[in-house]
Amino acid sequence: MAISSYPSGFRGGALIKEVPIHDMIDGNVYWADSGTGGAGNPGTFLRPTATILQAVALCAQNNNDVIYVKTGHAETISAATEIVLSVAGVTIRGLGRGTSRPTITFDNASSSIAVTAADVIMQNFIFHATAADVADAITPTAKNFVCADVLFSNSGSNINWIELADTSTTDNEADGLTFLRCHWVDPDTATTSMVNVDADIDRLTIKDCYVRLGVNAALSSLAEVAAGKDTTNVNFDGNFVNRLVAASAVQLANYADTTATNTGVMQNNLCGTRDTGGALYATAAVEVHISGNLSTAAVDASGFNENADS
Amino acid sequence: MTYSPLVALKEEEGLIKGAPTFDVIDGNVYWVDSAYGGISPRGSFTNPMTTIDAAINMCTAGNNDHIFVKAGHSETLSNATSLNADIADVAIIGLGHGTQRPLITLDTANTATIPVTAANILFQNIIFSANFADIAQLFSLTTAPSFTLLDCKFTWTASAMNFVDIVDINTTDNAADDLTIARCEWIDSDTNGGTLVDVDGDIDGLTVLDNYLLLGVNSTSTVAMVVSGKDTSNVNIQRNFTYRLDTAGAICLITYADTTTTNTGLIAYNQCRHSDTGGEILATATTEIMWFDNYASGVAGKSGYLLPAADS
Repeated sequence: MAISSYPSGFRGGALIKEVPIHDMIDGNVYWADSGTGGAGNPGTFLRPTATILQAVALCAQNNNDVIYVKTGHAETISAATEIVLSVAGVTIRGLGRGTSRPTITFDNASSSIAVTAADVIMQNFIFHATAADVADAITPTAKNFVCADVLFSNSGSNINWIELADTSTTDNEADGLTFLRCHWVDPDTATTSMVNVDADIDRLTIKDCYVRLGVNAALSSLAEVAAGKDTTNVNFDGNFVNRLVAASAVQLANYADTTATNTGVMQNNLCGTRDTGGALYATAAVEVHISGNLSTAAVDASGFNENADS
Repeated sequence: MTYSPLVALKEEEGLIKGAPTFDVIDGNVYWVDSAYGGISPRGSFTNPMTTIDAAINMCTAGNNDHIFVKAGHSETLSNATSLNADIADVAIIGLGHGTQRPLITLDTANTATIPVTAANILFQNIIFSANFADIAQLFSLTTAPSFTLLDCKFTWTASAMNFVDIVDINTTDNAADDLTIARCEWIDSDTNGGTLVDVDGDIDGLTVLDNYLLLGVNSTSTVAMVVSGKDTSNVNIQRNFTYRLDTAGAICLITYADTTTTNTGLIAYNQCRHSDTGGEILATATTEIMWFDNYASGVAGKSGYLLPAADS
């Protein structure tokens, strides 16, 4: 089917069957496709780039540019330098459904997507591990990175992610880190936590994710917070987490220190454990409001509101 | 209606600032309308195909092609070959609302069905009607991962006409992983009605969300029946309403022939109505599925109660 780019544009706007067309994108639009793209291409629909990195290089800082990644796109990264999201304000959106979503394969333990610019979004991808103990899918050193509708998968047993995101040790560098509607199932006992928090972070948000992990000591499924570091205004909402820790389970977030500086809300999460002795949602004595979560440690028993006030 | 120069120039799509005007579809777009009586249908808006199968045959696997089915479209399938969902990555989307949604009627034999033999097929906003007794299965899945049904209605043309199962997956393990059925409605009081998904092979990621299922009494579960030796890992069954007035042995949501801890996932926020006042359950016991905030009632006029009982 022939498609025109109408290079002269539509100066007065365009009507299609009397419906005004508004694309609601104030930045530029670029395309990536490993199947038909090329390194020197301009990133148009008909002449896309071959990789995400090449498309990012076409974008302008803080221009709200959008990169569409075509159905079936595939690329492999073997280091932390092959996808560097270094242009602020870029949205990278995969197209397609199910197994045809764009797939990024991580084939080395040090493979990672480095996020070095603020306000970047990645949506509707498959991130696929084909190496043992891939340390981090994402290393954010910039604010407001959003990871939405991403399936984190692996190619078989003993092939796994350690964690999905790892902040640096610089406080507040990764503020606003957000995971939405992501899916991570991995029975490997080397998995640690969705987010490894090594620095103070504000507005860490994890919503509507499905996380089912192998038992690794008593580590939490969503966040492990290092000593001396705090999470302010966390928002963990509507997640399902399932990790069959038998004792001392802290199901959502584990804090090395418990100070009132840790604030926010953890609500409406559904948690499965095997700790019948008093599983927690988060380490005690933080100032995070914990409400409406349900937890169960027993087969064929509904979750209950553990540790409720009275 | 006067068409814009886009059509006069015989351009079927346009790009504005690099983005196709049909939302963001990187594949081709084809149209279907049974009312079209013109010559040379070519799948365009003004020269649509008259059947969905003809439009599917125009699609390319892996291309994320979309087929829009016009409001008021109707077609009848009398066998297991008339409509083949056999091209991967095709989305078939009906337009219109209420009774104007496209209608696909299955008739003539209880073996009439829609075979799905490719990955990532989507049907959305379409009415499927049984016009024959005990049509065994509306969709027959073989190698069909990530098959999705959204906003569809499953109904019957006349009394004693019914679907037994909506989706049947074959015996090949993991050939239908990530099957998703969401926001659909199936109302059928026929006592030969079976289950939403007949699971004959291992399946990972079965997702059933926000459906309304009101079925006749038939000692089967409304959401899924899982045969011996097969498992469902990472099920996600949430916010459905199920109604089936079995009076004894009611298993409202899923029946497993075997109960192993390989069956995992969550079942949450479902509302189930039954008539078993003695020993109703939501799924066969001793799986590794997690339960949260499901409610069931066996008595008219009574509110549902938490089932299974809460951990403590």
